[in-house]
Amino acid sequence: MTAATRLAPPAVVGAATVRALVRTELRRAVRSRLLWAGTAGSVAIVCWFTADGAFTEPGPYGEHLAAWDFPVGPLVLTAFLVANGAALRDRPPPAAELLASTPARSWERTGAVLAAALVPAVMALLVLGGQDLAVLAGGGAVLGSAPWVRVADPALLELVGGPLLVACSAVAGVLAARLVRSRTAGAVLGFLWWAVFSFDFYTFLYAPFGLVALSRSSVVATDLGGTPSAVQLSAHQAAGSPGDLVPGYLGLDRDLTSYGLHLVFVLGVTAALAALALRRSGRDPRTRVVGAAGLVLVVAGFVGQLVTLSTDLGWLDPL
Amino acid sequence: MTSTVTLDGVGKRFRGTTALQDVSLDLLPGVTGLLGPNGAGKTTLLRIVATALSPEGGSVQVLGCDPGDAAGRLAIRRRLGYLPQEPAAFAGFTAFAFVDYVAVLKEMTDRAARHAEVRRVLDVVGLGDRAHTRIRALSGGMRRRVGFAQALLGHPDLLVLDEPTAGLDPEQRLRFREVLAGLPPDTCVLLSTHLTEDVAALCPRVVVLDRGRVVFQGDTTALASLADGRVWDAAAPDPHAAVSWRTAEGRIRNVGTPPPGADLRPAGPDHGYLLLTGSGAPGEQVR
Repeated sequence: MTAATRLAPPAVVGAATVRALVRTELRRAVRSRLLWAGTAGSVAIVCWFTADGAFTEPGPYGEHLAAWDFPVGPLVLTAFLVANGAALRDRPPPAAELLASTPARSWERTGAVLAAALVPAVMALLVLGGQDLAVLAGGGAVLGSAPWVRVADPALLELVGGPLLVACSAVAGVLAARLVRSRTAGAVLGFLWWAVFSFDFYTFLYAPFGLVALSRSSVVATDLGGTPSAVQLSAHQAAGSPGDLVPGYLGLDRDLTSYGLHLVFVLGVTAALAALALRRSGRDPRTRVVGAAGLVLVVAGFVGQLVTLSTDLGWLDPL
Repeated sequence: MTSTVTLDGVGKRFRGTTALQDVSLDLLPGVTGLLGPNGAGKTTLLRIVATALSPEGGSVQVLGCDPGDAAGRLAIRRRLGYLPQEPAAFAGFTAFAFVDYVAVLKEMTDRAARHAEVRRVLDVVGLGDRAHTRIRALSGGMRRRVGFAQALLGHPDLLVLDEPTAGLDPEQRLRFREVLAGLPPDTCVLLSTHLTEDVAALCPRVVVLDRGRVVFQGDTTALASLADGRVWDAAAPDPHAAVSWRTAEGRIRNVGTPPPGADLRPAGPDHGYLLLTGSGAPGEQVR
């Protein structure tokens, strides 16, 4: 390295500017009425679930824990929309010109908006924390239907999935803005994203979808057929009896190890989506680091789930 | 005096349309007006100077740096204030929040100092009392002033203003002129406008673009002198005139080649501009 290259001024803004930009985006996210509306919607679902005894009374399918993250649905939608809107500040073109003439590049602006995903994630954490407290006050979460019931306190790990999903949703909103530079298209994509999560989440109860879902619970369901033996039923922590949606019995197990690895997978997806958004915002060597870390986590999380799952992978049968 | 901006043989095309062709010019400290009809390439030129657009040919030097490389571009942007042609969207921001956001992008990291600077520029453009009004609730002229305010952040060495007086009422245009007059003398200002009276009032130097080419570059008085002896009043449009229009007094003012014995009038920069960019064909009229 020559003296000239050592002394060459950096071609990007300093860390202090990036920090100031991140603080600005965090403040804007905290003040977002849309995010607070999403939080209110999530709180309303928690109240509904709590009043309904959704997690504290026995049920046939094990949805008690499967639906653990369901209340953050409104936050999933609003986090996507708010992040999408923030990333689309450089629309229409005159705004892009104005922003392009400032020292901070699109890459730094995108990075700051991505960092602001922390705000809806914390909101989701608080909402689900409240749900945890309500369940604990109600005597714990009930898994399965009588007489094959198990009662357990929610684990701290199970508090992470919802916030991570919401953060992933915000990151997806930023990526959508970098791929389709239209607020209308962003709103449509946000709705579809939310609909897949909120209306289709039962799909993710079962393998192989559960492994690659952005949200699943720690409950692993195993199809036991219409006439399981007592040995089959007792091999699981709890069991669900046949119902409207599932014709057979389900063996239900809380598998926190594979759930933890699933969170690693979701974290990897989030990082990979963030890397794509950054890549669409200009060249920077740090993008590769984020992308590589994301891919490693995706592979590690997916393979780890396959290796550690304490059940067979024939979960499609109940569908 | 050293040039703040130097363009040499710069060109730019958009989808087969030539926006700029072989543009060479030097901008010195002080205010330079950029005149030209619609589609002349003014905005393209300003975007290139503001580093928001790359030229396709020729060389550009801004504040002693090459905008073609990342370090040069950053160095330029640190000393640049830019007001694009249309007010930026940012409708949901308050005026203060918007200018503060741009200040962050301009590397003003100390919050207290940044807020003081934001208040200063909003006061300069006369919006101190509307700082916390959302931009969507401001009039078009006020939005323009918010845009001007962000361009003034940090006392830039180069101000690039695309039609800054568009939508401003007469009082605000005077205020704008005062602000420009109050800038340090070593600040280089390049402003495009359709209003020749702005150029006459503000700009010691002027560049005229027409169909992507520089057709005039020099003092404003030199632009006016192009029309010396070529402006005359008559009772009716003169077929010898390149352009004609009715004055407030009800006479017809003609610019072009006067007939013998014509009632000659003093020439201004607008007359010189019309001669450069008007139809050029005697007999055609602009009313």
